[in-house]
Amino acid sequence: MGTQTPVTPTVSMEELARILEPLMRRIVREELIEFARHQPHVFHLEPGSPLYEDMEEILRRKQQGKIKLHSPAEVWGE
Amino acid sequence: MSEYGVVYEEQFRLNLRRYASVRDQIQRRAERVLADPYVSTEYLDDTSGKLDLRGCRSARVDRNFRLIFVICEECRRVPECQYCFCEGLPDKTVVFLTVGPHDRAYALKEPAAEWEYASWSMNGAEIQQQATLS
Repeated sequence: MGTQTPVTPTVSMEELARILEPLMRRIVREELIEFARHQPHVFHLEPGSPLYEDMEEILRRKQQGKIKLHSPAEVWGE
Repeated sequence: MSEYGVVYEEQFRLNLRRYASVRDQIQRRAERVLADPYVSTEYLDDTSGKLDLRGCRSARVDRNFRLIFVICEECRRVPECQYCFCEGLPDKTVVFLTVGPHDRAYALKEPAAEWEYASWSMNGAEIQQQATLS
């Protein structure tokens, strides 16, 4: 029995591009959809609003080392 | 069950008592945030530029009520985040910071009573608007 040399199929650049293009388009499309899904808009807090004052208060307590975190059971009474 | 763990800052707990009339709505929204904190939530910013809110997110409870939180895996990637209280917590943790109205007018009056009044008057306005349109 003679030794068989593996034959590597030759593909022209044009053919390779034709094969890869739809695949690349699909990958880019999926990545863009995923990116858009995780790209939220920005919500602006207005100074003087209760939420804004809360954020200032949290920062104050952080500087004083008085941040206190609670478990769900402590908050919802479960 | 959510893959995210959760802790609540003291301000959140206090506000939950203050806005007891919307507690159920807040709880439902918080559960939805935990299911996927990146979906239907927004980055937070400050119009005046006084507070650096980078790394914080906001989720809408209703027209005027919002949850503010950070996701540990996200705020760890934001060195400027001043509200990252994630030390010792897993990446997949949501830290709820506060909840409340974002309308400036609410700050001037008693919050709980004002909230109930606002809900009532908002419905009234909506009814009036519907009547005008029809």
